[in-house]
This record gives sequence, structure tokens and C-alpha cells, in this order.
Amino acid sequence: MPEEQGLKNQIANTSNRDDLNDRRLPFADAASIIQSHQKDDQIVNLLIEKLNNFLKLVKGQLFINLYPREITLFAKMLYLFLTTIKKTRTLGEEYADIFIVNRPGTGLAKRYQRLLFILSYCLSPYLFTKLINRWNSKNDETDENGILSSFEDLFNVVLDIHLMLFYFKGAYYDIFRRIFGLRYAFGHKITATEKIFRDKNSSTYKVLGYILLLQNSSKLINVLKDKLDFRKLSIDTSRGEKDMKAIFGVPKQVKTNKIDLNDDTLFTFIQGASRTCILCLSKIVDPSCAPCGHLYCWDCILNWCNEKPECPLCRQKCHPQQILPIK
Amino acid sequence: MESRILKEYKDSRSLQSQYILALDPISTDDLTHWECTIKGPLHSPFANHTFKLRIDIPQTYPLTTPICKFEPFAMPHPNVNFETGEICLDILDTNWSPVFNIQYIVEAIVWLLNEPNFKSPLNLDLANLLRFDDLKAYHDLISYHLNNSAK
Amino acid sequence: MTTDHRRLTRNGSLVRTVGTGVVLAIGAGIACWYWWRGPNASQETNRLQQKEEEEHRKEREKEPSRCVIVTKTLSEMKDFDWQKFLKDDIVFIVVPGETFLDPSQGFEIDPKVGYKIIRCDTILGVWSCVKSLKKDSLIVIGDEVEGGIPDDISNFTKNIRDVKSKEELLTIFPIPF
Repeated sequence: MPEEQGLKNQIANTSNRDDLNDRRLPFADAASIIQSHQKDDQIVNLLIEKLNNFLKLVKGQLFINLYPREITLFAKMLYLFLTTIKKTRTLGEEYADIFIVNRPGTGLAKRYQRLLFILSYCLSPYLFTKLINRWNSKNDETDENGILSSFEDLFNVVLDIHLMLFYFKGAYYDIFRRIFGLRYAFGHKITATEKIFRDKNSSTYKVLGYILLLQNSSKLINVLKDKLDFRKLSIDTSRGEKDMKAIFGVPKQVKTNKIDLNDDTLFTFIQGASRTCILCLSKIVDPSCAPCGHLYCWDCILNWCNEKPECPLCRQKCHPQQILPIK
Repeated sequence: MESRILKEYKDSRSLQSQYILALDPISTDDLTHWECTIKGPLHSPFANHTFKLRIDIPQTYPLTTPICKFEPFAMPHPNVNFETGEICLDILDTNWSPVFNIQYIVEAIVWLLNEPNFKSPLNLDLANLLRFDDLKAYHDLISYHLNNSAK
Repeated sequence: MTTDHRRLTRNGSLVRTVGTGVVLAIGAGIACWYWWRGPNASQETNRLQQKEEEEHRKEREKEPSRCVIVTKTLSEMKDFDWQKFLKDDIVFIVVPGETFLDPSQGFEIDPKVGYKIIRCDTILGVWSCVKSLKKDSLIVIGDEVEGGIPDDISNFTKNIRDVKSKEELLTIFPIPF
């Protein structure tokens, strides 16, 4: 877009002057960055929908059902390649009137930076989940202490800290933009009144940052507490009989509510075909027990018992309040 | 629901059954409408004939039952409405359980051909023949309808 | 050389223009021909189909479907060529105790039409069959049927012919010459 060229000139001109700081365009604040991202998300979703319609005609519904992640990935990459790589703004960026500049804000970001950013931004979450799945299927029961889950935890903590920084400073919205140094700047000069308004806005985002900080620190305290308890427990069991080992083998509850029996390390006492929920034909998520002892997913059996209060397998009475989740 | 029906579809690809000749979705784009061809069980009046079943899967499946019908004017059976092809079978009604899948339903229907139940009739005349214990007439009348509609 | 070249290119472009023109003209011609021809042809086939259907309907009207209850009199007419009538839209319902074209008595029936004979073990079964078949007309010797003709049969068959004698029966089933 030609205005981009104009902006470039403007930046080039200003960088030649001595009073660089005054003439430089101001960095964008958190509010407008989020605004532009929301707009872009909308457009990417629209693109995905169109792509799905097209694929439905060409390859059939089955294809769409089998590769939803790949299609989303493709749409995202397509959108960013057509905008960011060509050094034009995305529709969201245009909407919020911001554009991508380099780290010190002295010029537009280089093309290789943009390329690296897009590749890592789109591909890494996809590859990451793929890797985890492969890891899970390969290492059936070796992953005893949950090296992977701790790695995942670490990753989540890093993301949280990053988000916190964003709320405080309003600089880089996602971690890959931070790594490759793509900052946002406003495409226009900011008047005094607008500055007051924007400062007010960014202070509300700071509140969000504080909340996040609080949440994470409380999590940290919990983790530390768990660690301490765990040490106590292990001392107790070492003192106890050998039989205690069986109980000790039951893995502790994961941090989220979902207990997915796709993970073979969980609930090893449920074996073979019993790990599959006969209602959804998938591996049981949040195993739950009817009064007669039959196992289902929590969601599956609850939905059915709201329809008809009996066990689907043996037709014994089973009211929703009688279903026991196994933990 | 989507993933369950997809799994059933995959399982149905390797289906081998004496009496289920074909069990396919009408279009692979939409797994909610199925067509099934079954063979009449041996030693029943339906032997040596094939029948088409239409199965429509509701959005709420497996919490609610699929809707199964024979082709209209093709199935003379005490528990099938001759004009509409509607089937009266307990597991398709009050005794439904989400454990049942499409293949199980079809097998139950094949079994129903062999074991009609005159207490819940949709074809009164045929049910009456059973009630009067007139098996000869029952067989001959079914055979007449089958051959007559085949023409 | 330059003039030659120019002429060549001019020739080339001329050939190209004429070529595309001819192709377009032929295409348009074919399209027009189909357009002109198409509806006429389909109209003709439509008319033919309608004629056929009308003929079929007439045929059906000519020969209404019949349901015959085989009682003592019919059963005893062993020499009568019943098989000739099995080709029609007809059903013979044999009451309990009687025989009709029974293979055990040496009759050989074409299996293509053999299904048109229904043998019953109960008289209630006979009437259930009549109700189920819903034929245009019912031919029965009412006096020979145990319990007579039930009243509700008229709801299932338009035309009930209660035959009183063998002679009347022969007017319905004329002996072929």
C-alpha cells in the first residue's frame, strides 16, 4: 500500500535528523494492538470458512473433519503471507492504524524478520502439539514423573509472564514478535487529548496485568505446597508396608480437570477395552462410574442420564447424582 | 456426536455380516443419512429376498434413536407399516440405549424379520395371521406381497 | 526483409482472426441447432411417454385385480384350466380343508406365478388375507364359506361378487377355446 511507503519515507527522514526522538512515530499501546488482533482473527476465521466451503466441494466433508488444524494453519499462513510479508498492513492493523517497526522503532521491520516471525508464529504451536502427541504414543509408560507435563507447565508459565509484560508495557503481543523484534507503532501523530485517553486505557490493561500476576503467584504457592506435601508423603510410604506401593502408583490428579485416558500412564488399573467409552467410542475423558460399576466419560454418561436415568449397558437405575467421577 | 459417527463409519468399512449386504452413508459428505441392504434370514418367509433400509441419524445421536425405515410398499411384516416402511421395534423406541450402534440396529431388524411380535403390530392383517396361528397363510401372504412388489 | 516479415505477421494475424471466426461460427451454429432441435425432440418423447402411460392405464382399467376364495366347488373343478388365469392380476385364497392346484396331486405350476395361491389353515386367516390384499373385486361362493362373508370386508374390497352357482362361476371364468 502506498501509504506504507509514505510512512517509510517519514521514518527515513526523521532518522536523518538530530531530534530523532521528537519526530519518531509513537509506539502503539496495548489497546490498539489487541484491537487489531481481534479484527485479524475475525478475518482469518472468515477465510477459514471460505476455505472450508471450497474444500467441501473439492474434497468432501470427510477431509474437513480429518484436517481441521491443517486447514486453519494454511488459512493463517496465507493471510499473513499476503499481508505482512509483502510489507503491507493486515486489515486489523489498518483498522487500528498501526504498523510493524523494528525494535528501536527507527524503521520498518526487515523482510527476513517478518518471514521468520510468520513461520514460527504459525508452525510452532502446530508442531509442538504434534510432537507431544507423538511423544505420548511412543513413550507409553516411561514418562512416569511427567517430564513432558512439567515442560508444558514451564511453557505455560513463560507465556503467562510474557502476557503480563505485555499488559504492563504494551510492547510485544506474542512471544515470537518479541523474539524477532517486531514492534507496533502508530501511523499518525498523537494529539494531547488522544494521549490522555490512551494513557487511561493502558492503565486498565495494567490492572489486568496485576490480576495475572496474582493468579500466577498463587499457583506458584500451590505448587510449592504440593512439593512439600509430596516429600512428606514419600517419607510416610517408605515407613509403611510394601502394599502401599500400589496406592502410591496411582498418579496424582493433573492440574486441569480433564483426565484423558489417551494418556496410558493414567489409571493403569483400567485396562484394555475398558479405557474406551462405549458412548463416544473414544478413550474415556474424566472417567466416571455408574452405581453398577460401568465406566464412561463424565460428559457422555451425564448427558444420557439426564435423558433417561439408567445405565446404558445394564439398564440399572442410575440417576445423575449417583454418577461418581474417578479421581 | 460427530466423532462417534465418524468412528462408526470407519468400523462399517470392515463390516462382515451374513445378513448385512451393504451399510453405507448415502454420501460421504454427510454421515447422517445411511442406506443399508439386508438379506432376509434363512428359514423365514423373507429368505431369498433383499431389502433396503434407510437410516437417518439425528443431531442428538446417540442420546436419541436413529430413524429407520424400509422402503414404502416393500416390507410385509407384522411390525412394519406396509405403506410407509416404518418399523416398530422396542430398541428403536423406549428401550433405546446409547450403547447400540447402527450395525447393532440393523442386526436387530434382521432378527425382527425372523421373530415377529404380533403384540405391537403395524400390519394388522399379518399380525392377526400370527395370532390365529395360521403360519401357512402367514408365509403365503408374505410371499405374495414380496413377489408382487418385486414385479 | 522487413516488408516480408510484416506481410508474414499480417498474414499470420489474418489467419488467426479468420480461424477464430470460423471456430466461433461453427460453435454458435451447433449451439443454435441443439437449441432449436432440443425442445422439439424432448416434446416428442414426452408425447410418446404420455401415450404409453394412457395405454397402460386403459389396460389396467380393462382388467381389475381379482381375489378368488377357493371353496368346495372350485376345488372340485380339477379339470378346469385354472393355470391360464394365474397370469392375470389374481390371487386364489384356499380355505382350510380344500386343495387347489396342489403339487402333491401332480399339478405343475410355473414358479413365476405360483405365489398367487395362498393356502390357509384358518378361516379367520382367509379374511385377514383378503383385507391385506385389497383387490378390486372379491369372488366368493358365500354359502360354502364357514360363517359367511364378514360385514367389514366391504371396507377393503370395492366389489364383492357372491357367486351362487357353478354356471355363474363359468361366466366369470370363461372356458378358453
